[in-house]
Amino acid sequence: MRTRTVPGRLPSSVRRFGATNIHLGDFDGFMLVTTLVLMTFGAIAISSASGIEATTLENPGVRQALLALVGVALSLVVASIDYRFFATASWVLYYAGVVFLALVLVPGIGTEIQGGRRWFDLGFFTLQPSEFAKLTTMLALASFVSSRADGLKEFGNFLLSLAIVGLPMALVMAEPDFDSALMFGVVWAAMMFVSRPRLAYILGLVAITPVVLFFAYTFLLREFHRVRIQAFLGQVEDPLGVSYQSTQARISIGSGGVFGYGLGGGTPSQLDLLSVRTSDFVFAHASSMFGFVGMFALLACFVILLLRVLRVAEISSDSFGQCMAVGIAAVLCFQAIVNIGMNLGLLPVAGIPLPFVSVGVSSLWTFLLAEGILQSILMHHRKLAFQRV
Amino acid sequence: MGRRKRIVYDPPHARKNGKGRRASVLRPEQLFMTRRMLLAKGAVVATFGGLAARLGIMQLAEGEEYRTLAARNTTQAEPIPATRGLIYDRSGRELAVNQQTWEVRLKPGELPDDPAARDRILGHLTNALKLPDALVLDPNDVPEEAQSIVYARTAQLLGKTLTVEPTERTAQYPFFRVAGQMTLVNGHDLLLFVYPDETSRKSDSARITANGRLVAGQEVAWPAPPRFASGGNVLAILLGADDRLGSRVERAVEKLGPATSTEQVVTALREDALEAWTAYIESERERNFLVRLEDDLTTDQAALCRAHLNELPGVGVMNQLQYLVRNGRLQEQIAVKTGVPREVALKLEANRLNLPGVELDSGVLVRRYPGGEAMSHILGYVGKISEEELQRAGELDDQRRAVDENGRIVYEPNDYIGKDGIELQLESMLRGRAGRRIVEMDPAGASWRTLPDSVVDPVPGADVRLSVDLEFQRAVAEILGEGIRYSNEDRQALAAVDPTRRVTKLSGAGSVVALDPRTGEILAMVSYPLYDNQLFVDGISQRKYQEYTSEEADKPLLDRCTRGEYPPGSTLKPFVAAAGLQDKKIDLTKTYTCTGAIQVPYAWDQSKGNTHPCWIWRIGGHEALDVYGALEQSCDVFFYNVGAPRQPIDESKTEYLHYRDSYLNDKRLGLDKHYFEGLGIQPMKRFLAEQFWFDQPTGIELPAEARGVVPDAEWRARQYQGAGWSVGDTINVSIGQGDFLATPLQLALNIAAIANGGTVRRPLLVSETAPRSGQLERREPQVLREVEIDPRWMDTVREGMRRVVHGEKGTARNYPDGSSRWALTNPSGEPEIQIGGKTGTAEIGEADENGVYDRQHAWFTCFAPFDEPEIAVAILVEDGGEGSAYAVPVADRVVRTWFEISGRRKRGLVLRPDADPRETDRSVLAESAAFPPPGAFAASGPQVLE
Repeated sequence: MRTRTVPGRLPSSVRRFGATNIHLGDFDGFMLVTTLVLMTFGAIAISSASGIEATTLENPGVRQALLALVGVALSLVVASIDYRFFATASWVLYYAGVVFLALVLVPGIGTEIQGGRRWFDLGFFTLQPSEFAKLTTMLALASFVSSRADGLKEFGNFLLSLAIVGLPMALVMAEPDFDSALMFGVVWAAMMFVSRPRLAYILGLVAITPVVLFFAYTFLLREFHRVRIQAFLGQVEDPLGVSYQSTQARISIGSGGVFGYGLGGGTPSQLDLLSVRTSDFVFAHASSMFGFVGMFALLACFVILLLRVLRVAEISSDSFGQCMAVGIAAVLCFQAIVNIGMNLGLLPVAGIPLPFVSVGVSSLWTFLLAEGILQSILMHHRKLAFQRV
Repeated sequence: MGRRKRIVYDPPHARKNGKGRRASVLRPEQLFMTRRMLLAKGAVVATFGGLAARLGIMQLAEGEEYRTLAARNTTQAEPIPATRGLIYDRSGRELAVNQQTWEVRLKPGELPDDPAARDRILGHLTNALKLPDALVLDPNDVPEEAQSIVYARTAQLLGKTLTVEPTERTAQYPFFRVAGQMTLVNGHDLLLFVYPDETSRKSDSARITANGRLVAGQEVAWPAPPRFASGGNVLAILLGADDRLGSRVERAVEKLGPATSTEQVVTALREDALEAWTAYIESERERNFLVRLEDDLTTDQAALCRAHLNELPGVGVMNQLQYLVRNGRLQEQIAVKTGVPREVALKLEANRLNLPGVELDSGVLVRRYPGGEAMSHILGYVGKISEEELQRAGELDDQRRAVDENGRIVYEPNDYIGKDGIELQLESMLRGRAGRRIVEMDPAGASWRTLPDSVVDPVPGADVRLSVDLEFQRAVAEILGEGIRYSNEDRQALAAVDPTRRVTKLSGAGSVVALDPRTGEILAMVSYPLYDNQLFVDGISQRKYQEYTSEEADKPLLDRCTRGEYPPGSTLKPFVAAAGLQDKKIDLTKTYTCTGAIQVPYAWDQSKGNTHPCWIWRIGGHEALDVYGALEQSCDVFFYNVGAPRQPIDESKTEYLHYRDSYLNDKRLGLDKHYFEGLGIQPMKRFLAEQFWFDQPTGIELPAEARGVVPDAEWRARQYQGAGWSVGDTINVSIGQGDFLATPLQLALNIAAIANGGTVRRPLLVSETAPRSGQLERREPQVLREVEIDPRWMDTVREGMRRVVHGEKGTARNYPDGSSRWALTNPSGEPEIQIGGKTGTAEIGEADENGVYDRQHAWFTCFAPFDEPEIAVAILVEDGGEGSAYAVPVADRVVRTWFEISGRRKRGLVLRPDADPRETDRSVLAESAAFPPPGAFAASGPQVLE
């Protein structure tokens, strides 16, 4: 029988983290390469969309590329650390994440941009703690779920798992940033997907969801959220120009054709009709640059990456690793789908960045660090294999 | 290779049992995991497949369509302005409406580059729109060293300065102790009397009556109407000048120092005018590329200026339009003229092909104020949005439009925005929300098609109903104007026969606030002088604006009701009495005797002291008065006693604060010491600021309300850098003098609280708001505070106020000849309506050696009917003399008007029976509302009035 690895109660030989049982051969090159391709893609699109000469640091694409390199280095450092360390440290990281989420709400510490207090301004770039908190929450939840074995069949544990996600989620909502808060829900759902709680709990949750949604819609959502949703549902005429944006995005994408307009993009970008084209609508801008050929390649990259991430879940030797891999895959997948779906006019407009492509160091580094953990799981999954040979 | 890897990555248990089908040996949880992963992978591939399919459809199948869309895609979002909400009066009369007019705009960026063609277009517009010439200064073209000369010369050309030429002539008048030096100021004679010192000048000034016909009791035949000004050791008499010139000379002379020679006066006169002119140019420079020195040159002025241009570098005569084009930004539209007559607009429209860059808009809504000038202060006005207002409204996009956080355009550079009054206060509500449409532009940038489905209709602004009654407001404005005129003429007439009276300053301003004590609704609120708010919408000339803000014209723009702060004088006494009663410092039997004045000894030398007179001092004093009598006769000494506290006179604590009766006319003192045992400043302040509603804004829905002051030691130390507080200051506050300041609105509000038994209500100016798409919203009366004073004492104060009007010796009861001051409200033959009131004469300006001031504000506050008050009024005539003589007659007419409107009295006595308040060029008053003829009571002998 396989012994279940319980985080925090590891054999002393394992608890010492280091390179003793690292297997560099298990490093997943595919994952790194597809990531690099996606980031390159993003940097070029951002650089072009900004309309600033690509030789200065003023150009956000150039900055994105530099920060991506730093992120990859960080990712490699993380990969070299035994992932069980992160399980052990998950609670410290979790609370740190919560503290930063709370700090960002404090006027004077957090920077307010257009009514949302979401950022720390560090001069060269701004950090968005909610992005990092996604990862730390995931670590805590994975650690919790894996340490409880079949524990989620107990109602108390099920509720606790909700609480772990609920705290950071509430803080993110307070910023207010409902789109990011939604991603915490995705993290939780992913954990449930692999940890088999009682069906009754899930059904119960599904049953009260409409009530919660109604409450949230009426009391929590701000006017512009409601308008966005109603605009998507076609219930209101569109005073904020949301569907106008969406139309411009579709024109951008469609007019890209097979090969695209090349650098610079289509008329919506050049006439400044497509807004937020380095972040939320970077996909639309890229579509007009690269055309169907380029965008199909981009989608393929995402599929390859996601499959490689899910592969980590399959070969992980413990439940913590599985949870992490599935959680990361879920967030990655969900963000990509919501963002691309919005660009294609299939989903309502939401402020969710396209992983590795949209501008923003916080999102970028979070996903790179997550990949670092995945690589660590790969390289450390063979439990004391050398002793068995 | 692949085979090897599979073994390596097989879970350990699979390898351990290594036989049979792997699925059969997987434990249930692993089976679960494998299934889930399969599901997940399937989902990923399927979803992304779906996205790829959609992408394919859009880019491959529909690509061509999107490409044509993109090629045409020079669309632009254009806001559709919302119509501004209308404003109605209490009974639904229109106070602010929108009139559709033509507007001519110019896009300088689209004018032809060829200068000749440009000038032809500008010239055509100028002629068509009859735009005047402007004298313009380009500050960059003025050499540094020539600057002061240019400023001085332009000031001369435009008549902004004084040409002062000393002459050798002198004039000798027997009644002045020195000879007058004749000087020519702008062609008018100015007599300058330069005295050896200030005291001798003052004693000569004091011998002149205000109208100047009499000097030292002798009639003088002046060659032209004289105006007098004095300052320092100089007395100046200007003959036959207009008001503007007169005021300017007055201002310059009043600033003179105590030892000035004739030459210095001449220089001071020249410099004063130039200083103001330079300050104006400098302030304009900061905001404009080009400074408009005069925006409305008359033909003569233009010719004169042109003749002198060669000596003035940087100055040019150009047309208004040229100025606008040169001063504006290239990419911005310039609104050249709004309200262009239809036929002119149609002619321009027909000629449009020849006028590139000129735009005509027939749909421009211009604000009209049919209520006339009487409503100006309340309504305020709208005007073109300024740069600062744009920036405050949101972030500016590349077309300099203000965009809010949701990306919606809220203001455009040429938009109108509320600038003052209700228009400013309720801007967001009145404005509504602009709509939007997306128009496609042709390659030249002209819009040619509105995209279907892109139109978002604007949300019109909400309509607003005010509590003010237009008819009442108009009547009150007329009555107040007449009252001010009556005050000036009557006082001059009295001064002509009574040597003890002197009119140092004529009244030019005043205010009336009338509200309903039951609800706090403002019924009328008039600040005088009025101004014409329509001028601000249509574009006010600099000349007019300067007049509106000038001291000489009494600053018509200032809303005295809410922003003017004045000492309320004796009208504060009811509140002080209530406080004294509640704090048990006095009771109903307590009396104080007034001998005309008291002397409060100095702490350091008790044989001397400060004299505080009662207003009646010239004719003796009051008898022993209780609180009713003290209110009725407005005895100051009684209230000094209520106000000043029992406390040691200094730190040695050997003696307590006290006073001795003073007989000013006999110049002697009583022997007895009377010890103070009144409230003291802190308890008084507590009652006035924390029970009643002084020293804080009332919260009326008008911008920039003043708060007034209830002073105390702390305030005084802050205000005057550590100045101390003495008992004299407390004494001053107890009769509403000294540093105590209140707005007329505050006073009306607090009198209403006394009238209604102690409820301070927030002034209700906006009674209803009606969004076009929504519920009519009625603003409910709002209680600010219940005054915690025993109803008994409130009744006492009310009774005292009733006696002011109806009591035997009431200060507001009779004219000096014994006829009633309330002949209109209570004419014989109609059942009497009882009124509670309080007169006040607030003293300001310079005090003479007896502590008597040379200027007085006339006050009267009242409520009626006494038993069930439905109106409370505060009346102020600035520099109007005695409250009982000049504010009470206004009150009689105001109260009567309200009762005629509310139906309690029949129409006709004050309001013209067929009066229509919408005919703004016709009086609403009947002839019987006229004030008594000036000097009507001169025969009744010398008057001493409160």
